Amino acid sequence: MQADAGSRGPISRGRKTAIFIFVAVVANSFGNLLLAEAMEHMPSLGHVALAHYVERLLGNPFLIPGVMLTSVYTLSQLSLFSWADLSFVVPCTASSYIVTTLLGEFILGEHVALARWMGVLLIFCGIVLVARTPTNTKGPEDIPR
Amino acid sequence: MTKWLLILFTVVASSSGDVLCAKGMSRGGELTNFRPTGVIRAIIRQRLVILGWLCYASSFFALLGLLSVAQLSVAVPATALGFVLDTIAARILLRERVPWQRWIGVMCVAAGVVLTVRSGPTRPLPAGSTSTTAAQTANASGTRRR
Repeated sequence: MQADAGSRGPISRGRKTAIFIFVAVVANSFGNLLLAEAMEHMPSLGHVALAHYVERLLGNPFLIPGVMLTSVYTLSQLSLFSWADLSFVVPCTASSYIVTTLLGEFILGEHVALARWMGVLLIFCGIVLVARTPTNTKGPEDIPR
Repeated sequence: MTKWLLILFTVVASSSGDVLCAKGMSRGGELTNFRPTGVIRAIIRQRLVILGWLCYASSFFALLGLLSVAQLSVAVPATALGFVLDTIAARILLRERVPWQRWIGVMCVAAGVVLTVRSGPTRPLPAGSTSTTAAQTANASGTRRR
């Protein structure tokens, strides 16, 4: 996915940032979902021999896709750090809480409490505020998004 | 007491990881080659990033320790504090000029995270999904490394 982000051709920094944050958030949310699914099928670590645990872990069909998505997340976030402020990237990637909640309600069929929706709304407002600030405040030129 | 020490360690280690990774990556200049190999090469060249990963890994294990002595509802608000600590560190250590909208935004996000996780889904969240930090550390700890 990252290869699409435009190593050639002009692309504005704001656009590039939006793409990378989107990729990071989606990969993080789905990666966590898969890893959670993987761990749910695992015995408790203290109760089985380590070798057996590792064998079960590696045989788990959710593990590799989960790990791959989390890797995509890591690479996108580190790429973002190369041009965007830490204080910009960190709150924006909190959108994964929103995605996780939506996944829970609409895909996993969990009942999401009202307080949780309020939390999601707060996170959303916070991200909107942060997203309106310049991506990079250290560089010679700030390119507002 | 153990609980508070673990909370402190988890939060400080994960924010240190963020700061080191951000510092390391910005040192290498803006990435332009987004092929995975290009990105990975740019990353492993930065010692600070590797150091940051060690911080993520220690934060991850501290979080696991924390979850063994405290409820998730105690552990997670603590990691939400990481958002605020990251912003303070970005201002002081990385000399980012943090506009007031960003301060307010970060506080909203941190409060929202506490609310979101406290009211929880019907099934418990895995440690990794409770915070970016924990997920990052999961990677760092070499499950693949995230």
